[in-house]
Amino acid sequence: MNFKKEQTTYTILLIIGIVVLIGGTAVVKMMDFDNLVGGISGLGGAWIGISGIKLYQIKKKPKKYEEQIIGQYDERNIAIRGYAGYATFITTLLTISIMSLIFMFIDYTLASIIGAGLLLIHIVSFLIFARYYSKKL
Amino acid sequence: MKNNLEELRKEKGLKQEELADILKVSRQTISSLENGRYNPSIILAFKIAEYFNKKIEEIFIYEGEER
Repeated sequence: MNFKKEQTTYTILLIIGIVVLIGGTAVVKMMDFDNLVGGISGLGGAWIGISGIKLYQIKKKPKKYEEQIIGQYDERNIAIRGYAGYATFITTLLTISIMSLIFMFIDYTLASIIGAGLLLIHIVSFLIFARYYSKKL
Repeated sequence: MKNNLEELRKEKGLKQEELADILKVSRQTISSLENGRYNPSIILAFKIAEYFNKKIEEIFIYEGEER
C-alpha cells in the first residue's frame, strides 16, 4: 500500500502544529492574552503529537498502519459503526427524555428546559443528516 | 445467505488473515462471512469472486430473505 497522500497530509499537519505552538503562543503572549496560551499551545502540541505518531507508524510500522487503515474502511466495521450509532441515538433520546421529565417533576425548570432543548437539537440533527444522506445515497 | 468461502479459501491453502490481506478487509470480516453472520457488499462479493475466479452465485447462495 502506498501512503504518500497520508504522509503529505500528516507532514502538513505537523508543520501547522509547530507554527501554532511557536507562532500562536508568541502572538497570544505579545497581545497579552495570557489565558489563551494554554489552549493554543495545547492545540499545537496535540497536532504535533498526532501527526508525529502517524508519521512514525507510516515510516517504521507500515504493516500496522495498513491494518489500521483497513480496519477503518472495512465494510463490516462501517456497518457496525452504523448500527452502534443508531442504538446510541435511541439510547440518548430516551435518556434525555427521562431526565427532562424527572427534572420537570422535581421543579428543576431550567434543567428541564435545557434537556428539552438538547432533545430538539438531537432530533433535528438526525433529521438533517438523514435528509443529507438520503440525497447522497 | 450461505456461501462456500471457507472451502474455497482452504482449497487455496490460505489462512483467514492472508485472505483478508489480499481482499483488504479485516480478518473478522472473513470470519463473519464464513460463518454466514455477515453478507458482503456487492463490491466485496465481486472482489471475492474475481480472486477465486468464480461467478458470485457459485460462491454465495441466495436462499430468500432472512428476518
